Amino acid sequence: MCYYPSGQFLTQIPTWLIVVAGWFVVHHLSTKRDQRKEARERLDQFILALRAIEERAIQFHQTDTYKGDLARTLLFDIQRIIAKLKRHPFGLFEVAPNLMKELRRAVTLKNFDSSKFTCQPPNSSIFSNVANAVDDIEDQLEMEYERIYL
Amino acid sequence: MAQLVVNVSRDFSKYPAGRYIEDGPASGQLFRDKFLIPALKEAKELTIELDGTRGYGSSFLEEAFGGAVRAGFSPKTVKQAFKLISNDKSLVEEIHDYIEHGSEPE
Repeated sequence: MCYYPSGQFLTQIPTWLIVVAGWFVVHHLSTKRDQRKEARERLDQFILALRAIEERAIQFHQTDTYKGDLARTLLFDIQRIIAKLKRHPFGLFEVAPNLMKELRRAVTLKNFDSSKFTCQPPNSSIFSNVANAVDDIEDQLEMEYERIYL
Repeated sequence: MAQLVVNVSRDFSKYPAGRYIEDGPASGQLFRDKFLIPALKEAKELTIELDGTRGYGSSFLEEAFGGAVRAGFSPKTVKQAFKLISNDKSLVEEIHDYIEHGSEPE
């Protein structure tokens, strides 16, 4: 063990304080960066899942005959994506319930049941409603990501 | 007012879907006729636990709750008669929309 005269030791205290403070700053920034990266990855996955719902909804409403299995898949997928919003990291995000309501409504309110199903023309309002609902959720999530992590 | 509880997943179906009875075995019309209308006629407060199913279609919700208003009960009566329990706020919000606008089917 080295021996320092007390005067020399006292002069080194600021240096050590700077070293410790620097370590804390680097550690904090590194943790923040990791959290940001993880949140970004999960957000990208979420957006992909959202886009997959949009694609399936278009496919469902454009088929010639009613596809019950596709309708059930859409219900499950919408339910899953809503549940996902309650889990990390989305629990920190403020997403208005209205946005999820609009998605469910756009996909499953009109032309969703076998008794009234008809193949929708390309200019059907269902498609624009679905696209708008998906875009609104994506925009909101991106804004929340920026607010929290950037 | 007597209090009743219906858990949709347990007492009706884990897969509630479809607007009319011809759309499937767990339609909104059937749910309305089996649970909502009797509770409204008997003026009983009904607690409806919505969680636990594999999702809801809006057409199911509209026919069940909006349909209760179309059956002749005022939106105020319908809203007061049912206590909706769910972790999904969007679901409760959507049902309230259909009760408020139940006399204008979409």
